[in-house]
Amino acid sequence: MRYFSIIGYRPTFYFLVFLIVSHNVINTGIFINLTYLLSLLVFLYSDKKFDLLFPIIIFFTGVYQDILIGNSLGYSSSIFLFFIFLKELVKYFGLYDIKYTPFFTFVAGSFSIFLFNYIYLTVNYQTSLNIFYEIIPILITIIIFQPINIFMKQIEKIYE
Amino acid sequence: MRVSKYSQYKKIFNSRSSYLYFLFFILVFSIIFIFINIKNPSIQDTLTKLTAEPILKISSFVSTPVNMASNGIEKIIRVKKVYDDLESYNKEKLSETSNFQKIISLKMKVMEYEKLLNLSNETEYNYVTARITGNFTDQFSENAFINAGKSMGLQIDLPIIGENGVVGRISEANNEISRILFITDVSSRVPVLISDNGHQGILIGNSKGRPSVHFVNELSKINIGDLVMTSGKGGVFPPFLIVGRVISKNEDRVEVELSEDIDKLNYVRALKVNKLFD
Repeated sequence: MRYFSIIGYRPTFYFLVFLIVSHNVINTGIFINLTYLLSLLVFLYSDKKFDLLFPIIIFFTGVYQDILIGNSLGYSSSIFLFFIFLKELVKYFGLYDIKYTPFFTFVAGSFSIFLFNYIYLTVNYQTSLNIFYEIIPILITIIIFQPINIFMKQIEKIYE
Repeated sequence: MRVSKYSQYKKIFNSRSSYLYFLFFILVFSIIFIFINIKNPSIQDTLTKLTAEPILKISSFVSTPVNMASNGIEKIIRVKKVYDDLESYNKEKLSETSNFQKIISLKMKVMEYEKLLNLSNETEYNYVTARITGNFTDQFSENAFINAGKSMGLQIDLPIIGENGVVGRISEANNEISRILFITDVSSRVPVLISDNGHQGILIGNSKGRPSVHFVNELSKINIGDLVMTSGKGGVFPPFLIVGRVISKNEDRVEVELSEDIDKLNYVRALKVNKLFD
């Protein structure tokens, strides 16, 4: 464990994010959406010092993902940054440490992103999306919120 | 003591409200960045063309271990399927032989009719077979990279087919790699024919669900199980390529089960049409 601490908490987190984004080339099926999974990691990342590099790196990671997936550049970055902003907003009002607040904030954020996407695509492409397939990855991400939270806290503890 | 510029900025932003403003600024910038790219796609095209190949190489390298493991599992499942197929093939061998005879006689008939009608051979294809190197199943987009590009004569809008039918078209062509837009993608539109009566419609992708055919005139005359083929209109897909079968009917559209399982594709063929169809 001590050897891991040489690398540092932030580089480990960035490496993890890079690793997950790079795995977008693998078909993850209908259950896992790596963008939501990354949003969860970004949301749970504990940024005690106000590190300016963090949102900038996340922005470029999003651009990297967009080039891989073929989305409009800035799409993934906006989702990631939205979650960071949401978290900081809740922290600003002093609500983050209240039990279950992070969880419900993430749920609300996920569903608002989903609704925005769904309405935009339905109106713009005039297609009938299967809501079941679209909602499953969000529900999976919500289900794994707690295990990922514990995992992130464990990583943080190692580097303390 | 000299203080670095970064430390100075850090001091300015060392309060939650300033950090919040900074986050808001970068979020707004990111959203504006999307709209700039939508309004002016040439910026995105140039950037993607420059970076797609090295980025895909990095991504493929990083994901090699997981990719190998998932391929290994897939191969084991396939080997089992081959044994099962072999067993069922042995059982159906007799009926297959008679079907083959039927196909040959039908082909001969078509050739005879074509001669009588003085029809020229409408389309001739050249194939470029390529391997899917990266499959992207984001929430709403369905696309993949293949390891063939402009150097092999591929270009934007060439139709892509699998073993059993149409799977998509090329949406981006670089020198060594190309991006396929699957027909299940929300932005995909394919003019199709349904059933023997040739009812026309537009096949619209809806992400991971089954694509559906919209704008069909005589919906009541369409039956479950009818064959869906490309109509050849629109100039991208040649006519009579199999897409799938009608699986259900709604008030204004029919749902189609694709003849090709896009999730399990490993190799695809790009159709280089020699003689242009109308």
